[in-house]
Amino acid sequence: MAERKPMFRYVLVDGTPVSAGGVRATPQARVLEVRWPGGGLVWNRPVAVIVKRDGTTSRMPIVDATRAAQLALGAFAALVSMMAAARAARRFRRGHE
Amino acid sequence: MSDEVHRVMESTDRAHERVAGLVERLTDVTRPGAVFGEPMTVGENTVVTAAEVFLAMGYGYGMGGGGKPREEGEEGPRTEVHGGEMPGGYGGGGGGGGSSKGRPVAVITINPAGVRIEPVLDLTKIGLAFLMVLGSLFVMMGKMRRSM
Repeated sequence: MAERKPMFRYVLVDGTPVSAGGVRATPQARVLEVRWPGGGLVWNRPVAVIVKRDGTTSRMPIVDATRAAQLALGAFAALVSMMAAARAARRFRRGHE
Repeated sequence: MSDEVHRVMESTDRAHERVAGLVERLTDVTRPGAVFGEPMTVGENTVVTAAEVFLAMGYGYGMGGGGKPREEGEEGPRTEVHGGEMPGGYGGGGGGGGSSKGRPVAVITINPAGVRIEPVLDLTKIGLAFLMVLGSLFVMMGKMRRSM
């Protein structure tokens, strides 16, 4: 019988470790998997690199600079819109007092 | 059931199995290998590329049929299809769609000095987002000024 796949999965998966000159780096990816009868979607993105060196382990996050810039622009637009709306509401109230 | 019905059902089942197999292969995209490229070594440096991958797909299918209208004098209820002039038949069909995209996110460099992660900036995307924000702010300000 075929293996039954879960309908929803949000997991951290480790990639193949890479070693160079006493440094061992293991990349990590975050996977979002949604399946439904007749389809599905997968979103797979890199999140961090686990670095092992001289017996110590550290985690270096992978920053998605493009997404961060897009989110920052969106947040800026939302903030300016809210400030402008608040200012307009204040003027409207003052005009009707 | 007639041979025609069997043929339609078999053909629909075959198409369904083929597409279901394709959906099963979504698992291939969940592997870390889909995100991290093959390590490339240049001198003391080993470089690994990291990308974001998105894939979505869906499909649907259906089949149906109707019996042949009964002749005058035949027993049983008469099937009225288009006034009794339409012959009986079976049919099936399906369709599907999907989308996939990949985008470089970072370049990982591993060397004896340590690990360096350099982000990849997609200036086209950032530029488009900036223009969209600027445009929407101008439109909003203009509308607010007119309404005052």
